[in-house]
Amino acid sequence: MQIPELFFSVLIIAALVITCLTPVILLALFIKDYFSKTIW
Amino acid sequence: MVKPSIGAGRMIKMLSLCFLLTLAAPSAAQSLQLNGPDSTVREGYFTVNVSSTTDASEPIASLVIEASSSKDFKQNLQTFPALGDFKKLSLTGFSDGTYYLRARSEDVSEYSNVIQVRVQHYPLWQALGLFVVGFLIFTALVVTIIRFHQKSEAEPADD
Amino acid sequence: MTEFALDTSVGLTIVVLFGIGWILFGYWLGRKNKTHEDFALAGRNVGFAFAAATAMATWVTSNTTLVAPQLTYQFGLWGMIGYSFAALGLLLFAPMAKRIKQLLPNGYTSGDFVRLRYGQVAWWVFIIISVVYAFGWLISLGMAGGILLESLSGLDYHIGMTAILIICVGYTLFGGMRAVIATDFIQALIIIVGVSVIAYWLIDNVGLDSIHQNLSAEHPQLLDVLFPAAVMFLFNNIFFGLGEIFHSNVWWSRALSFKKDVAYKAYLTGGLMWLPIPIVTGFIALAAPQLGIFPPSADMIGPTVAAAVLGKAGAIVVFIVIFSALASSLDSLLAATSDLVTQDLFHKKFKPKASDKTLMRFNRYCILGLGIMTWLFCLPRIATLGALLNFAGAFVASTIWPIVLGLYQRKLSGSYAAAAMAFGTLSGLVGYFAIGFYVAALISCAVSGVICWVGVVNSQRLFDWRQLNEEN
Repeated sequence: MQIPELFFSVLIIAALVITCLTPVILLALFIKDYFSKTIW
Repeated sequence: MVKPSIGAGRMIKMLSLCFLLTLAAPSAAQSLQLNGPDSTVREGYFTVNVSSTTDASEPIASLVIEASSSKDFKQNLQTFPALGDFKKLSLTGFSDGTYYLRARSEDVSEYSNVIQVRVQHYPLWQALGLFVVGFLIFTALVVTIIRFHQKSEAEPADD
Repeated sequence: MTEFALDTSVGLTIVVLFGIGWILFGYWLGRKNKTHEDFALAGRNVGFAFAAATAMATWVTSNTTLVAPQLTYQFGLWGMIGYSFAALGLLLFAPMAKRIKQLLPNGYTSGDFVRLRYGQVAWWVFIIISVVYAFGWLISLGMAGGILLESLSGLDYHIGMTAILIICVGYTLFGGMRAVIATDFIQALIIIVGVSVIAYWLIDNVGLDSIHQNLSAEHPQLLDVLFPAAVMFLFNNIFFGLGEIFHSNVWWSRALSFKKDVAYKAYLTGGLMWLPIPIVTGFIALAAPQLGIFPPSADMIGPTVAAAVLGKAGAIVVFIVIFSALASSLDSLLAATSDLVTQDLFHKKFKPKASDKTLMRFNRYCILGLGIMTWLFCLPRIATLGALLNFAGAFVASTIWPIVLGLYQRKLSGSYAAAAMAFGTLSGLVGYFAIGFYVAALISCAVSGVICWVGVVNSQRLFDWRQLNEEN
């Protein structure tokens, strides 16, 4: 049984979107830590 | 759009810097020897390598592997160009069946020897059996960790 | 058409620039290290942002950037989905990290825990497993560095391998855990942005629909939901990942260095952020057949396709991404393994009265020594990456149950834990050689689990958790 094209596309696009969000989240967390002086 | 041939051509430049200065010199007596997997392939992927009878260190220009499901190379012919000056190819995605492979090159007028590769995937019951065993152990582990975690949250210092 | 080969000089320039940058950064961060605790565990006070990033970045290794595309190339869609399940290791370790921080507020290493919880015999078995694994991983990372630099820029394997080791040893030596974690944060950003750019360019240039069409016409097996070898390998790979994370001091020292209440959410966030990455990197390999790219060995497929599609810029992006991925794991492993040697062997066995200063100095020597040993092992370029790592699966998977039960269950005794790890490893190895690589971790985990639960049922004594909180 083959994976349909729709599932294939959704899987890849979803993975890519989440991956793109990650740096945004990390930087936001860093800025938050920076201003509350809780980096270390 | 990137055409396959362009992709391969670019790769020649990229990956063969160390060989860049050596140019293939065609030789009259040259012939190609193709080697593949010795035993039945169980995973659908395998590597083949080509050697030239004249000089092993010489690159083979435009090396291409042809694969077919028939001995006369008339059915389902697939071609796989080699990357740069590499004489080894990693091929993948073969379904159950017997395949015939041969190599050709711009420099050599004749095809290489034909090798026969038999692909037979693991039986599905065996694969699913392992899958189920793995799934059961994994579930047991996850349930254990979650229950332990909940318990330790409920009564922190001691349980 | 432009010539886009990454010149040897360009590759070398990138390595040198990054090398100088990381080492200076490590030196700058290292100025804050006053005690051994600062050096080894970053003062036990790492905040959420750095904690989540380091959990993710350390788990992104040569595995994710080189082997995920390789497995996708070989096993198709299941290769990348199966690989992304390795995130389960981070997710399941989250509650355990919290527990570790609670039980061992003054602990240093996973070896500390095993010694206090299970005693000497189990400790020896555990240390052997840890050392085999740590060296397997260190060597495979060092070799991956050399192979990568060579395949992308023609730089000699030995020069590339030596360069990456010198850089990582350098900044870890100066900055300790702080340098490891701070560089991990930046490396995490580089990795994610890099792989996203490559995947986006690939989708834009080649198209998802055309990749799917080509595969279903030419290589239908790669899209098969029931690909037998891939289905078989799935859970084995998961147990391998769990074993790696649960036992390794890389993850324990992180849990211990995080601020209180940060460990749990940091591992959870790190795991969720890691989850899609193997799909994004693995997917790149699926475009290979359509592009007519058939590499000499399957572990080269990721970088090769990316560079083919993206040209010179792509080659540089790939180069930097994989370089960062390797460095972010190599530094962690160097730091964690030298902590293990310093704390468990030197401090506890030979010099119980060693001063803080002595420990810090010894730890630095260890990092240097490990670097040199790794370099020596990498010189002959022994095995392919995958083969080396599969072998370790038998070792690490045997520690899953002993660690989980040891952290939460008071009944399991040291002798059963030692037996579980020893026999689990042995049967895993037997499985590896008699049946195949796809059962090594599975059998190891199963056998060790059975022994552990028998131990829980048979044990009479209850362990007192207070024994774990050892004064240093």
